[in-house]
Amino acid sequence: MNALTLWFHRMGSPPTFYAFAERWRPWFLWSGLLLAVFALTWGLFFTPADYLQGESYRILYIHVPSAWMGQFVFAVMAVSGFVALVWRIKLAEIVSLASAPIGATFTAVALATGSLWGRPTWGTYWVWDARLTSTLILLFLYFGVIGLSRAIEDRRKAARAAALLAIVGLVNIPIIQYSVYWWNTLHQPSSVKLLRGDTTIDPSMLWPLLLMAVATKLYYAYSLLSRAQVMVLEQESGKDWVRRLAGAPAND
Amino acid sequence: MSLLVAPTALLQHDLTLAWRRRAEAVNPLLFALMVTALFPLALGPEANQLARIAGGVAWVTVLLANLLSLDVLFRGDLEDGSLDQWLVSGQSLPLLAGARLLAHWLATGLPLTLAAPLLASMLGLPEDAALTLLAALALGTPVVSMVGGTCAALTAAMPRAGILLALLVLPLMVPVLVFGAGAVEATLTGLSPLPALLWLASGLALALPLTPLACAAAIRISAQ
Amino acid sequence: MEPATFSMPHWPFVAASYVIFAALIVADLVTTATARRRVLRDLRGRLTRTARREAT
Repeated sequence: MNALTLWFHRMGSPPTFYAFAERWRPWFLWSGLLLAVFALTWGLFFTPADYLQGESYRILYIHVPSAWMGQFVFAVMAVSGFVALVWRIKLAEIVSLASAPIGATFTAVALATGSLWGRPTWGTYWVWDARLTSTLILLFLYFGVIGLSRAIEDRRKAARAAALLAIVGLVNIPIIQYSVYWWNTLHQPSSVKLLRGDTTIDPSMLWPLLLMAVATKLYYAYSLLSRAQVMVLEQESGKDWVRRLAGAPAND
Repeated sequence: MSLLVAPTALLQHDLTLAWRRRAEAVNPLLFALMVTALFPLALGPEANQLARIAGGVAWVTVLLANLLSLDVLFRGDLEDGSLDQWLVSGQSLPLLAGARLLAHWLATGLPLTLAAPLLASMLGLPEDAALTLLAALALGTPVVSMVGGTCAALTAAMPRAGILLALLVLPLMVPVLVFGAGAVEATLTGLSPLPALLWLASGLALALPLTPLACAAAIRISAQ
Repeated sequence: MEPATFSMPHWPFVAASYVIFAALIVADLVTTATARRRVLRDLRGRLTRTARREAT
Protein backbone atom coordinates (compact mmCIF):
# COMPACT_ATOMS: atom_id res chain seq x y z
CA MET A 1 0.00 0.00 0.00
CA ASN A 2 1.53 3.31 -0.97
CA ALA A 3 1.69 6.31 1.33
CA LEU A 4 -1.29 8.13 -0.18
CA THR A 5 -3.79 5.27 0.13
CA LEU A 6 -2.50 4.59 3.61
CA TRP A 7 -3.09 8.22 4.54
CA PHE A 8 -6.58 8.04 3.03
CA HIS A 9 -7.42 4.94 5.05
CA ARG A 10 -6.19 6.59 8.25
CA MET A 11 -8.36 9.64 7.55
CA GLY A 12 -11.33 7.28 7.36
CA SER A 13 -11.06 6.93 11.12
CA PRO A 14 -12.96 9.83 12.72
CA PRO A 15 -10.61 10.46 15.69
CA THR A 16 -7.57 10.57 13.39
CA PHE A 17 -9.37 12.94 11.07
CA TYR A 18 -10.46 15.13 13.97
CA ALA A 19 -6.90 15.35 15.27
CA PHE A 20 -5.61 16.09 11.77
CA ALA A 21 -8.19 18.85 11.31
CA GLU A 22 -7.43 20.29 14.74
CA ARG A 23 -3.72 20.42 13.91
CA TRP A 24 -4.03 22.07 10.47
CA ARG A 25 -7.11 24.26 10.90
CA PRO A 26 -5.30 27.29 12.46
CA TRP A 27 -2.51 27.15 9.86
CA PHE A 28 -5.00 27.36 7.01
CA LEU A 29 -6.97 30.13 8.73
CA TRP A 30 -4.03 32.40 9.57
CA SER A 31 -2.13 31.89 6.34
CA GLY A 32 -5.33 32.55 4.39
CA LEU A 33 -6.24 35.69 6.35
CA LEU A 34 -2.73 37.14 6.27
CA LEU A 35 -2.36 36.47 2.57
CA ALA A 36 -5.77 38.04 1.90
CA VAL A 37 -4.92 41.18 3.87
CA PHE A 38 -1.57 41.42 2.09
CA ALA A 39 -3.05 40.89 -1.39
CA LEU A 40 -5.97 43.27 -0.84
CA THR A 41 -3.69 46.00 0.54
CA TRP A 42 -1.48 45.58 -2.48
CA GLY A 43 -4.46 45.66 -4.81
CA LEU A 44 -6.06 48.66 -3.11
CA PHE A 45 -3.07 50.96 -2.64
CA PHE A 46 -0.11 49.80 -4.71
CA THR A 47 -1.53 49.11 -8.15
CA PRO A 48 -2.32 51.75 -10.79
CA ALA A 49 -5.95 52.60 -11.61
CA ASP A 50 -7.36 51.02 -14.74
CA TYR A 51 -7.46 53.53 -17.62
CA LEU A 52 -10.81 52.21 -18.75
CA GLN A 53 -12.68 51.47 -15.53
CA GLY A 54 -10.93 53.85 -13.14
CA GLU A 55 -10.81 52.84 -9.50
CA SER A 56 -13.82 50.53 -9.65
CA TYR A 57 -11.82 47.69 -11.14
CA ARG A 58 -10.31 47.11 -7.66
CA ILE A 59 -13.58 45.31 -6.86
CA LEU A 60 -12.33 42.55 -9.14
CA TYR A 61 -9.73 41.53 -6.53
CA ILE A 62 -12.66 40.21 -4.52
CA HIS A 63 -15.14 39.47 -7.27
CA VAL A 64 -12.99 37.25 -9.49
CA PRO A 65 -11.51 34.98 -6.78
CA SER A 66 -14.99 34.57 -5.27
CA ALA A 67 -16.47 33.61 -8.63
CA TRP A 68 -13.64 31.10 -9.14
CA MET A 69 -14.30 29.67 -5.69
CA GLY A 70 -18.02 29.36 -6.42
CA GLN A 71 -17.27 27.02 -9.33
CA PHE A 72 -14.29 25.29 -7.71
CA VAL A 73 -16.23 24.42 -4.55
CA PHE A 74 -19.13 23.05 -6.60
CA ALA A 75 -16.69 20.77 -8.41
CA VAL A 76 -15.17 19.62 -5.09
CA MET A 77 -18.67 19.01 -3.74
CA ALA A 78 -19.72 16.91 -6.75
CA VAL A 79 -16.47 14.92 -6.99
CA SER A 80 -16.42 14.09 -3.28
CA GLY A 81 -20.14 13.32 -3.60
CA PHE A 82 -19.31 10.85 -6.37
CA VAL A 83 -16.66 9.23 -4.16
CA ALA A 84 -19.19 9.09 -1.34
CA LEU A 85 -21.84 7.40 -3.51
CA VAL A 86 -19.57 4.88 -5.17
CA TRP A 87 -17.26 3.86 -2.32
CA ARG A 88 -19.50 4.82 0.61
CA ILE A 89 -16.73 6.77 2.34
CA LYS A 90 -18.13 8.72 5.28
CA LEU A 91 -15.45 11.38 5.08
CA ALA A 92 -16.31 12.12 1.44
CA GLU A 93 -19.98 12.53 2.44
CA ILE A 94 -18.94 15.05 5.08
CA VAL A 95 -16.66 16.98 2.71
CA SER A 96 -19.46 17.15 0.13
CA LEU A 97 -22.06 18.31 2.64
CA ALA A 98 -19.77 20.80 4.39
CA SER A 99 -18.70 22.42 1.12
CA ALA A 100 -22.18 23.55 0.09
CA PRO A 101 -22.63 26.57 2.42
CA ILE A 102 -19.07 27.78 1.82
CA GLY A 103 -19.49 27.63 -1.93
CA ALA A 104 -22.86 29.38 -1.70
CA THR A 105 -21.26 32.17 0.36
CA PHE A 106 -18.51 32.73 -2.21
CA THR A 107 -21.06 32.70 -5.05
CA ALA A 108 -23.19 35.25 -3.19
CA VAL A 109 -20.10 37.46 -2.71
CA ALA A 110 -19.34 37.17 -6.41
CA LEU A 111 -22.90 38.24 -7.29
CA ALA A 112 -23.02 41.14 -4.81
CA THR A 113 -19.63 42.52 -5.81
CA GLY A 114 -20.41 41.95 -9.48
CA SER A 115 -23.48 44.13 -9.27
CA LEU A 116 -21.59 46.75 -7.22
CA TRP A 117 -18.98 46.81 -9.98
CA GLY A 118 -21.72 47.11 -12.58
CA ARG A 119 -23.17 50.32 -11.13
CA PRO A 120 -20.20 52.63 -11.90
CA THR A 121 -19.11 50.66 -14.97
CA TRP A 122 -22.33 49.75 -16.74
CA GLY A 123 -24.52 52.37 -15.09
CA THR A 124 -26.81 49.79 -13.48
CA TYR A 125 -26.68 47.25 -10.65
CA TRP A 126 -27.93 44.37 -12.71
CA VAL A 127 -27.74 43.48 -16.37
CA TRP A 128 -28.59 40.08 -17.76
CA ASP A 129 -24.99 39.54 -18.67
CA ALA A 130 -24.07 35.93 -19.44
CA ARG A 131 -21.58 35.60 -16.59
CA LEU A 132 -23.81 37.25 -13.99
CA THR A 133 -26.78 35.13 -15.08
CA SER A 134 -24.95 31.83 -14.94
CA THR A 135 -23.51 32.77 -11.53
CA LEU A 136 -27.06 33.44 -10.34
CA ILE A 137 -28.13 29.99 -11.54
CA LEU A 138 -25.08 28.48 -9.81
CA LEU A 139 -26.31 30.08 -6.58
CA PHE A 140 -29.75 28.51 -7.12
CA LEU A 141 -28.08 25.12 -7.63
CA TYR A 142 -26.29 25.60 -4.30
CA PHE A 143 -29.60 26.51 -2.64
CA GLY A 144 -31.11 23.32 -4.06
CA VAL A 145 -28.33 21.16 -2.62
CA ILE A 146 -28.50 22.89 0.77
CA GLY A 147 -32.32 22.76 0.84
CA LEU A 148 -32.38 19.06 -0.01
CA SER A 149 -29.80 18.15 2.62
CA ARG A 150 -31.65 20.17 5.28
CA ALA A 151 -35.00 18.57 4.43
CA ILE A 152 -33.86 14.98 5.10
CA GLU A 153 -33.58 13.95 8.73
CA ASP A 154 -31.17 11.04 8.41
CA ARG A 155 -27.72 12.64 8.03
CA ARG A 156 -26.14 9.97 5.84
CA LYS A 157 -29.19 9.76 3.60
CA ALA A 158 -29.20 13.55 3.34
CA ALA A 159 -25.52 13.51 2.37
CA ARG A 160 -26.09 10.91 -0.34
CA ALA A 161 -29.14 12.69 -1.79
CA ALA A 162 -27.30 16.02 -1.83
CA ALA A 163 -24.29 14.33 -3.42
CA LEU A 164 -26.41 12.94 -6.26
CA LEU A 165 -27.98 16.34 -6.86
CA ALA A 166 -24.51 17.93 -6.89
CA ILE A 167 -23.36 15.44 -9.53
CA VAL A 168 -26.43 16.11 -11.69
CA GLY A 169 -25.74 19.83 -11.22
CA LEU A 170 -22.07 19.48 -12.20
CA VAL A 171 -23.01 17.67 -15.41
CA ASN A 172 -25.47 20.47 -16.10
CA ILE A 173 -23.22 23.45 -15.31
CA PRO A 174 -21.33 23.51 -18.66
CA ILE A 175 -24.64 23.08 -20.52
CA ILE A 176 -26.23 25.88 -18.49
CA GLN A 177 -23.27 28.18 -19.09
CA TYR A 178 -23.23 27.47 -22.80
CA SER A 179 -26.99 27.98 -23.10
CA VAL A 180 -26.77 31.27 -21.21
CA TYR A 181 -24.01 32.53 -23.54
CA TRP A 182 -26.09 31.46 -26.52
CA TRP A 183 -29.15 33.21 -25.07
CA ASN A 184 -27.08 36.31 -24.37
CA THR A 185 -25.84 36.62 -27.95
CA LEU A 186 -29.40 36.09 -29.17
CA HIS A 187 -30.79 38.92 -27.07
CA GLN A 188 -28.02 41.27 -26.09
CA PRO A 189 -26.63 43.87 -28.45
CA SER A 190 -22.89 44.32 -28.12
CA SER A 191 -23.19 47.29 -25.74
CA VAL A 192 -22.01 45.37 -22.73
CA LYS A 193 -19.23 43.54 -24.49
CA LEU A 194 -17.61 46.86 -25.43
CA LEU A 195 -16.85 47.47 -21.80
CA ARG A 196 -15.38 44.04 -21.19
CA GLY A 197 -11.87 45.39 -21.56
CA ASP A 198 -10.51 43.30 -18.74
CA THR A 199 -9.52 40.24 -20.74
CA THR A 200 -5.90 41.29 -20.98
CA ILE A 201 -4.57 42.26 -17.63
CA ASP A 202 -1.40 44.02 -16.59
CA PRO A 203 1.02 41.87 -14.53
CA SER A 204 1.02 44.46 -11.74
CA MET A 205 -2.71 43.89 -11.37
CA LEU A 206 -2.48 40.13 -11.86
CA TRP A 207 -0.32 39.33 -8.82
CA PRO A 208 -2.75 40.48 -6.12
CA LEU A 209 -5.50 38.62 -7.98
CA LEU A 210 -3.58 35.33 -7.98
CA LEU A 211 -2.61 35.76 -4.34
CA MET A 212 -6.27 36.33 -3.47
CA ALA A 213 -7.17 33.13 -5.35
CA VAL A 214 -4.69 31.23 -3.14
CA ALA A 215 -5.95 33.00 0.01
CA THR A 216 -9.59 32.09 -0.66
CA LYS A 217 -8.60 28.45 -1.18
CA LEU A 218 -6.72 28.42 2.14
CA TYR A 219 -9.77 29.90 3.84
CA TYR A 220 -11.96 27.27 2.18
CA ALA A 221 -9.67 24.57 3.59
CA TYR A 222 -10.05 26.09 7.07
CA SER A 223 -13.83 26.42 6.86
CA LEU A 224 -14.20 22.94 5.40
CA LEU A 225 -12.12 21.32 8.18
CA SER A 226 -14.01 23.30 10.79
CA ARG A 227 -17.44 22.30 9.52
CA ALA A 228 -16.33 18.72 9.00
CA GLN A 229 -15.18 18.59 12.63
CA VAL A 230 -18.64 19.64 13.81
CA MET A 231 -20.29 16.97 11.64
CA VAL A 232 -17.87 14.30 12.86
CA LEU A 233 -18.63 15.26 16.46
CA GLU A 234 -22.37 15.05 15.82
CA GLN A 235 -22.13 11.68 14.08
CA GLU A 236 -19.82 10.18 16.68
CA SER A 237 -21.38 11.74 19.76
CA GLY A 238 -21.74 8.37 21.54
CA LYS A 239 -18.16 7.26 21.05
CA ASP A 240 -15.47 7.16 23.69
CA TRP A 241 -13.02 9.53 22.03
CA VAL A 242 -15.68 12.23 21.71
CA ARG A 243 -16.55 11.78 25.39
CA ARG A 244 -12.94 12.23 26.32
CA LEU A 245 -12.76 15.30 24.10
CA ALA A 246 -15.86 16.85 25.63
CA GLY A 247 -14.90 15.85 29.15
CA ALA A 248 -11.53 17.59 29.11
CA PRO A 249 -12.34 21.28 29.57
CA ALA A 250 -8.95 22.45 28.28
CA ASN A 251 -9.75 21.09 24.84
CA ASP A 252 -12.20 23.74 23.78
CA MET B 1 -36.53 -9.56 -24.46
CA SER B 2 -37.17 -10.75 -20.92
CA LEU B 3 -35.29 -7.67 -19.75
CA LEU B 4 -38.16 -5.52 -20.97
CA VAL B 5 -41.09 -7.53 -19.59
CA ALA B 6 -41.25 -5.84 -16.20
CA PRO B 7 -40.67 -2.28 -17.50
CA THR B 8 -43.38 -2.80 -20.15
CA ALA B 9 -45.77 -4.09 -17.51
CA LEU B 10 -44.98 -1.06 -15.34
CA LEU B 11 -45.57 1.27 -18.29
CA GLN B 12 -48.94 -0.39 -19.02
CA HIS B 13 -49.87 -0.20 -15.34
CA ASP B 14 -48.97 3.50 -15.13
CA LEU B 15 -50.81 4.38 -18.31
CA THR B 16 -53.92 2.44 -17.26
CA LEU B 17 -53.83 4.25 -13.95
CA ALA B 18 -53.45 7.61 -15.69
CA TRP B 19 -56.38 6.76 -17.97
CA ARG B 20 -58.63 5.77 -15.06
CA ARG B 21 -57.76 9.02 -13.31
CA ARG B 22 -58.09 11.09 -16.45
CA ALA B 23 -59.99 13.82 -14.66
CA GLU B 24 -56.86 14.30 -12.57
CA ALA B 25 -54.54 14.00 -15.56
CA VAL B 26 -56.29 16.91 -17.28
CA ASN B 27 -55.34 19.25 -14.43
CA PRO B 28 -51.89 20.23 -15.78
CA LEU B 29 -53.58 21.11 -19.10
CA LEU B 30 -56.19 23.26 -17.39
CA PHE B 31 -53.46 24.88 -15.32
CA ALA B 32 -51.46 25.73 -18.46
CA LEU B 33 -54.55 27.19 -20.16
CA MET B 34 -55.43 29.33 -17.16
CA VAL B 35 -51.90 30.66 -16.65
CA THR B 36 -51.71 31.52 -20.34
CA ALA B 37 -55.01 33.37 -20.06
CA LEU B 38 -53.56 35.43 -17.21
CA PHE B 39 -50.90 37.04 -19.39
CA PRO B 40 -53.21 39.03 -21.70
CA LEU B 41 -55.13 40.09 -18.59
CA ALA B 42 -51.94 41.26 -16.88
CA LEU B 43 -50.17 42.80 -19.88
CA GLY B 44 -53.08 44.09 -21.95
CA PRO B 45 -54.58 42.70 -25.13
CA GLU B 46 -52.20 44.33 -27.60
CA ALA B 47 -51.56 41.60 -30.20
CA ASN B 48 -48.00 42.52 -31.19
CA GLN B 49 -46.74 42.52 -27.62
CA LEU B 50 -48.43 39.19 -26.85
CA ALA B 51 -47.07 37.49 -29.96
CA ARG B 52 -43.59 38.71 -29.04
CA ILE B 53 -43.64 36.97 -25.64
CA ALA B 54 -45.86 34.00 -26.60
CA GLY B 55 -43.03 31.48 -27.00
CA GLY B 56 -41.49 32.26 -23.63
CA VAL B 57 -44.87 32.29 -21.88
CA ALA B 58 -45.80 28.91 -23.36
CA TRP B 59 -42.49 27.40 -22.23
CA VAL B 60 -42.67 28.75 -18.68
CA THR B 61 -46.29 27.61 -18.41
CA VAL B 62 -45.47 24.10 -19.61
CA LEU B 63 -42.53 23.90 -17.18
CA LEU B 64 -44.71 24.89 -14.23
CA ALA B 65 -47.53 22.55 -15.25
CA ASN B 66 -45.00 19.70 -15.41
CA LEU B 67 -43.66 20.64 -12.00
CA LEU B 68 -47.12 20.29 -10.44
CA SER B 69 -47.48 16.71 -11.61
CA LEU B 70 -43.92 15.66 -10.71
CA ASP B 71 -44.37 15.93 -6.96
CA VAL B 72 -46.34 12.68 -6.63
CA LEU B 73 -44.42 10.67 -9.25
CA PHE B 74 -42.74 8.33 -6.76
CA ARG B 75 -44.34 9.20 -3.42
CA GLY B 76 -47.26 6.78 -3.53
CA ASP B 77 -45.01 3.90 -4.54
CA LEU B 78 -42.57 4.75 -1.78
CA GLU B 79 -45.30 4.85 0.85
CA ASP B 80 -46.97 1.56 -0.09
CA GLY B 81 -43.64 -0.23 -0.45
CA SER B 82 -43.73 -0.70 -4.23
CA LEU B 83 -40.31 0.93 -4.57
CA ASP B 84 -38.86 -1.63 -2.14
CA GLN B 85 -40.33 -4.31 -4.40
CA TRP B 86 -38.55 -2.68 -7.36
CA LEU B 87 -35.28 -2.87 -5.43
CA VAL B 88 -35.57 -6.54 -4.41
CA SER B 89 -37.22 -7.76 -7.62
CA GLY B 90 -33.89 -8.34 -9.37
CA GLN B 91 -35.17 -6.34 -12.34
CA SER B 92 -33.01 -3.62 -13.85
CA LEU B 93 -33.78 -0.54 -11.75
CA PRO B 94 -32.75 2.00 -14.45
CA LEU B 95 -35.17 0.36 -16.91
CA LEU B 96 -38.02 0.45 -14.39
CA ALA B 97 -37.21 4.10 -13.63
CA GLY B 98 -37.08 4.80 -17.35
CA ALA B 99 -40.52 3.23 -17.83
CA ARG B 100 -41.92 5.44 -15.06
CA LEU B 101 -40.38 8.55 -16.61
CA LEU B 102 -41.72 7.61 -20.05
CA ALA B 103 -45.18 7.10 -18.56
CA HIS B 104 -44.95 10.56 -16.98
CA TRP B 105 -44.07 12.11 -20.32
CA LEU B 106 -46.90 10.27 -22.11
CA ALA B 107 -49.42 11.34 -19.48
CA THR B 108 -48.24 14.96 -18.99
CA GLY B 109 -45.60 16.16 -21.46
CA LEU B 110 -47.27 14.84 -24.58
CA PRO B 111 -50.74 16.35 -23.89
CA LEU B 112 -49.09 19.66 -23.02
CA THR B 113 -47.10 19.55 -26.26
CA LEU B 114 -50.25 18.82 -28.27
CA ALA B 115 -52.04 21.68 -26.50
CA ALA B 116 -49.24 24.09 -27.40
CA PRO B 117 -50.81 25.27 -30.68
CA LEU B 118 -53.89 26.24 -28.67
CA LEU B 119 -51.78 28.17 -26.14
CA ALA B 120 -49.90 29.78 -29.03
CA SER B 121 -53.07 30.89 -30.78
CA MET B 122 -54.43 32.35 -27.54
CA LEU B 123 -51.42 34.68 -27.58
CA GLY B 124 -51.51 35.29 -31.33
CA LEU B 125 -48.27 33.54 -32.22
CA PRO B 126 -47.82 33.31 -36.04
CA GLU B 127 -48.25 29.85 -37.53
CA ASP B 128 -44.65 29.15 -38.48
CA ALA B 129 -43.51 30.09 -34.97
CA ALA B 130 -46.28 27.89 -33.51
CA LEU B 131 -44.91 24.96 -35.49
CA THR B 132 -41.44 25.65 -34.12
CA LEU B 133 -42.93 25.75 -30.62
CA LEU B 134 -44.55 22.36 -31.23
CA ALA B 135 -41.24 20.85 -32.38
CA ALA B 136 -39.32 22.44 -29.52
CA LEU B 137 -41.81 21.16 -26.94
CA ALA B 138 -41.75 17.67 -28.49
CA LEU B 139 -37.96 17.60 -28.01
CA GLY B 140 -37.84 19.47 -24.70
CA THR B 141 -40.67 18.05 -22.58
CA PRO B 142 -39.12 14.52 -22.42
CA VAL B 143 -36.02 16.13 -20.89
CA VAL B 144 -38.24 17.97 -18.40
CA SER B 145 -39.93 14.70 -17.42
CA MET B 146 -36.63 12.83 -17.09
CA VAL B 147 -34.62 15.41 -15.15
CA GLY B 148 -37.65 16.46 -13.10
CA GLY B 149 -38.48 12.83 -12.36
CA THR B 150 -34.95 12.28 -11.04
CA CYS B 151 -35.35 15.20 -8.64
CA ALA B 152 -38.82 13.90 -7.68
CA ALA B 153 -37.25 10.57 -6.75
CA LEU B 154 -34.85 12.40 -4.44
CA THR B 155 -37.70 14.18 -2.63
CA ALA B 156 -40.09 11.19 -2.62
CA ALA B 157 -39.62 10.53 1.10
CA MET B 158 -40.73 14.04 2.09
CA PRO B 159 -44.42 14.50 2.84
CA ARG B 160 -44.57 17.92 1.18
CA ALA B 161 -41.80 18.73 -1.26
CA GLY B 162 -43.56 21.15 -3.63
CA ILE B 163 -41.44 24.28 -3.23
CA LEU B 164 -38.22 22.34 -2.64
CA LEU B 165 -38.83 20.32 -5.78
CA ALA B 166 -39.21 23.57 -7.75
CA LEU B 167 -35.94 24.78 -6.25
CA LEU B 168 -34.20 21.60 -7.41
CA VAL B 169 -35.75 21.30 -10.87
CA LEU B 170 -35.99 24.84 -12.22
CA PRO B 171 -32.25 25.73 -12.27
CA LEU B 172 -31.57 22.47 -14.12
CA MET B 173 -34.24 23.39 -16.66
CA VAL B 174 -32.55 26.61 -17.75
CA PRO B 175 -30.94 25.15 -20.91
CA VAL B 176 -34.23 23.58 -22.06
CA LEU B 177 -36.04 26.87 -21.50
CA VAL B 178 -33.34 28.91 -23.24
CA PHE B 179 -33.13 26.74 -26.36
CA GLY B 180 -36.88 26.03 -26.44
CA ALA B 181 -37.93 29.66 -26.23
CA GLY B 182 -34.90 30.64 -28.35
CA ALA B 183 -36.12 28.47 -31.22
CA VAL B 184 -39.47 30.29 -31.24
CA GLU B 185 -37.72 33.65 -30.94
CA ALA B 186 -35.45 32.78 -33.88
CA THR B 187 -38.45 31.95 -36.07
CA LEU B 188 -40.16 35.21 -35.07
CA THR B 189 -37.12 37.28 -36.03
CA GLY B 190 -36.68 35.47 -39.32
CA LEU B 191 -33.70 33.34 -38.33
CA SER B 192 -33.48 29.57 -38.61
CA PRO B 193 -34.74 27.74 -35.50
CA LEU B 194 -32.64 24.72 -36.47
CA PRO B 195 -29.57 25.38 -34.24
CA ALA B 196 -31.74 25.68 -31.13
CA LEU B 197 -33.78 22.61 -32.07
CA LEU B 198 -30.60 20.62 -32.67
CA TRP B 199 -29.33 21.66 -29.22
CA LEU B 200 -32.61 20.45 -27.74
CA ALA B 201 -32.26 17.17 -29.63
CA SER B 202 -28.72 16.65 -28.36
CA GLY B 203 -29.93 17.42 -24.84
CA LEU B 204 -32.55 14.71 -25.30
CA ALA B 205 -29.90 12.29 -26.61
CA LEU B 206 -27.77 13.03 -23.54
CA ALA B 207 -30.64 12.71 -21.05
CA LEU B 208 -32.06 9.50 -22.53
CA PRO B 209 -29.27 7.17 -21.33
CA LEU B 210 -28.11 9.17 -18.27
CA THR B 211 -31.30 10.14 -16.41
CA PRO B 212 -32.63 6.59 -15.87
CA LEU B 213 -29.29 5.78 -14.19
CA ALA B 214 -29.45 8.91 -12.03
CA CYS B 215 -33.11 8.26 -11.26
CA ALA B 216 -32.32 4.68 -10.22
CA ALA B 217 -29.60 5.97 -7.88
CA ALA B 218 -32.08 8.48 -6.44
CA ILE B 219 -34.67 5.74 -5.86
CA ARG B 220 -32.04 3.67 -4.07
CA ILE B 221 -31.22 6.61 -1.77
CA SER B 222 -34.87 7.43 -1.04
CA ALA B 223 -36.10 3.88 -0.52
CA GLN B 224 -33.34 2.74 1.81
CA MET C 1 -13.71 51.68 -27.18
CA GLU C 2 -16.01 53.75 -25.02
CA PRO C 3 -14.44 54.46 -21.63
CA ALA C 4 -16.58 54.20 -18.51
CA THR C 5 -17.72 57.74 -17.99
CA PHE C 6 -20.52 57.39 -15.47
CA SER C 7 -19.69 60.42 -13.41
CA MET C 8 -19.83 59.14 -9.91
CA PRO C 9 -17.20 58.46 -7.26
CA HIS C 10 -16.04 54.87 -7.47
CA TRP C 11 -14.71 54.46 -3.96
CA PRO C 12 -18.12 53.85 -2.24
CA PHE C 13 -18.65 50.82 -4.47
CA VAL C 14 -15.14 49.51 -3.88
CA ALA C 15 -15.57 50.05 -0.14
CA ALA C 16 -18.99 48.35 -0.13
CA SER C 17 -17.56 45.30 -1.90
CA TYR C 18 -14.71 44.92 0.56
CA VAL C 19 -17.08 45.40 3.49
CA ILE C 20 -19.50 42.76 2.16
CA PHE C 21 -16.64 40.31 1.63
CA ALA C 22 -15.22 40.93 5.10
CA ALA C 23 -18.66 40.71 6.73
CA LEU C 24 -19.47 37.36 5.12
CA ILE C 25 -16.07 35.92 6.03
CA VAL C 26 -16.51 37.08 9.63
CA ALA C 27 -20.04 35.64 9.67
CA ASP C 28 -18.68 32.32 8.39
CA LEU C 29 -15.92 32.35 11.02
CA VAL C 30 -18.41 33.03 13.79
CA THR C 31 -20.86 30.32 12.64
CA THR C 32 -18.24 27.62 12.39
CA ALA C 33 -16.68 28.54 15.75
CA THR C 34 -20.00 28.74 17.60
CA ALA C 35 -21.27 25.50 16.02
CA ARG C 36 -18.24 23.63 17.32
CA ARG C 37 -18.50 25.15 20.76
CA ARG C 38 -22.24 24.39 20.89
CA VAL C 39 -21.79 20.74 19.94
CA LEU C 40 -19.05 20.26 22.54
CA ARG C 41 -21.11 22.05 25.20
CA ASP C 42 -24.19 19.92 24.47
CA LEU C 43 -22.09 16.79 24.71
CA ARG C 44 -20.55 17.90 27.99
CA GLY C 45 -24.02 18.68 29.36
CA ARG C 46 -25.28 15.27 28.37
CA LEU C 47 -22.24 13.60 29.92
CA THR C 48 -22.60 15.39 33.25
CA ARG C 49 -26.32 14.55 33.34
CA THR C 50 -25.62 10.83 32.80
CA ALA C 51 -22.82 10.93 35.37
CA ARG C 52 -25.15 12.54 37.93
CA ARG C 53 -27.85 9.99 37.20
CA GLU C 54 -25.39 7.14 37.63
CA ALA C 55 -24.17 8.61 40.95
CA THR C 56 -27.66 8.68 42.49
